[in-house]
Amino acid sequence: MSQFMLSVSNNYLSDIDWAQVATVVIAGVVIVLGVLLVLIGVFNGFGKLVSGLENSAKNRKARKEAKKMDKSNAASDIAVVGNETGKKAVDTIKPAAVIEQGVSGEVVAAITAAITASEGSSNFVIRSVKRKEAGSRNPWARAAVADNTRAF
Amino acid sequence: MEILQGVWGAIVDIFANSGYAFFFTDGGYKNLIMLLMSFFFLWLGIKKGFEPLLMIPIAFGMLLANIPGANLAVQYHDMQNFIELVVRGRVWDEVNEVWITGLSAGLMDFLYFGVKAGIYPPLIFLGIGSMTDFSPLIANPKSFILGAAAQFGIFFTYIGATLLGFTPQESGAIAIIGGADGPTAIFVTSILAPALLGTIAVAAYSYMALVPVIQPPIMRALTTKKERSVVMGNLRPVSKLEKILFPIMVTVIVALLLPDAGALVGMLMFGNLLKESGRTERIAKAAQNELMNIVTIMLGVSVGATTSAQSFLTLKTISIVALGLVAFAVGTASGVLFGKLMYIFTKGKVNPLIGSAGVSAVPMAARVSQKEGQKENPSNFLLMHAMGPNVSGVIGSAVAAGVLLTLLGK
Repeated sequence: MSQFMLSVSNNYLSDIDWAQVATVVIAGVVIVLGVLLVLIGVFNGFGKLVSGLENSAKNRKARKEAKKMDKSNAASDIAVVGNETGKKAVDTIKPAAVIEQGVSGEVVAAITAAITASEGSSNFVIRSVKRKEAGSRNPWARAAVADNTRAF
Repeated sequence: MEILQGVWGAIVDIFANSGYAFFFTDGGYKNLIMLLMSFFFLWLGIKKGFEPLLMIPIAFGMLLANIPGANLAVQYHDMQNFIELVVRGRVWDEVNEVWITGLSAGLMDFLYFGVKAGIYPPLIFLGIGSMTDFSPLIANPKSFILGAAAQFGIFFTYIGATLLGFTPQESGAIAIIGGADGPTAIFVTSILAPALLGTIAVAAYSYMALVPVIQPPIMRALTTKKERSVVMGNLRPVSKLEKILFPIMVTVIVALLLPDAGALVGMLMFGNLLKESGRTERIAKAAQNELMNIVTIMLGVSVGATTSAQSFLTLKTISIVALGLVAFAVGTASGVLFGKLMYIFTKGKVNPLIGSAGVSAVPMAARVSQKEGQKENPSNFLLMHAMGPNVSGVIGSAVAAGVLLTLLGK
């Protein structure tokens, strides 16, 4: 009986076109892997290129902003010294705020407005604006993920 | 008295010609079984929420197709027979090698034309593309490899289907269930093995809904606690320029290599470009909503209408259902194993759980990775990392479909 079953299964297996099966499987795996590896290479390179271009554009913009801020701070210092006398002049000279490169004037204005709104008055001086690392987890990203996974 | 006899005769005639009488004829009980099956799939879709947007139309199409005498079952499987049916009212019976005459094209025959002509699945991909965010994939292109790995289930299942006696074309159509992509499975099956379309569509959508049940045991069996606890770093921000150029570049690269995948990949990326360009918000919204909904209705009900008793109640159906499960399981396993390889090569920076998300049931598979990761470490958020392989699996399954159509298509 077992020999009969073996001969039946051998006949059945030999009816299958194994060359065609191997062609489809191997070609399929190789082509799918190959195409997606090509996409990895293309988009890795593309990502680096775009990041490089955007960083240099950002740096150019930040340098322009910094120059503008320096000019406007210097102008206010000069104006105060020119118009006021003695102690009053010294009192009204404000030291220029130290703004980290890459932080635009609009961001500084927004931060000033937010502090004014929370403190309820504008009786303060911004001395410096520096980036703070948020650590390994961006709080905005955390909030978005929490929102995405809430129903699940 | 004559009037009473006439009325009684009329009532008997109506009943004799009704569908109810058909159930008592030779083989008529099969239609009754199919009606009961359609009730079961309606219950799965409505009560259990198994991919309801397609399961309910498919199940109702199955119900309509198996009402005897209603002429709501699809009567052809190829374009030549569609023309013969519409023009001459006949179709060719391949089994008995005779013309079946005296037929007329019904509603489902015309709706099914969109499936047979390869129109509906690419339109659904258009809608899917306009809803998909490829940022996690662009930010971490290595995710493409996990999308590729999960397609191994397709080719493993191809071998299994061949061993079970299916023809190469039927094996290719069954194997594409492993891509976990409904439109792709329907697109490939309508070309390679249209007679199996209804069964394969039902199997594909049922298993897609069962992803949260099928995947976790495999993921846990193939990974260690330490591997599952890996916390992955933040993804880099993706610029608007990258998001706009991505669909254009993918279309050109993939469609040039595999023109048979051009329809699916092209429409997927076209939909995505509509969304990302920022200039076509109106038509992107139409693609996501009105177009997608209309095509889903027509696709679902016409595919369901191919599940007549003669085609569905066979041993082949049981084999296809079993092979579908194998395809999903092997796809999950191969994705996780590739994830483990990446874990080793990156010295522990990649969590292998995201590999299973390469099985492109978007976004369910990504959420399964997130949930399994959180079981080990409640503060671990893998969702966006898993979305990369998840959406790359959509591209990978479209590429695999192109390969099968190129190698096996007539």
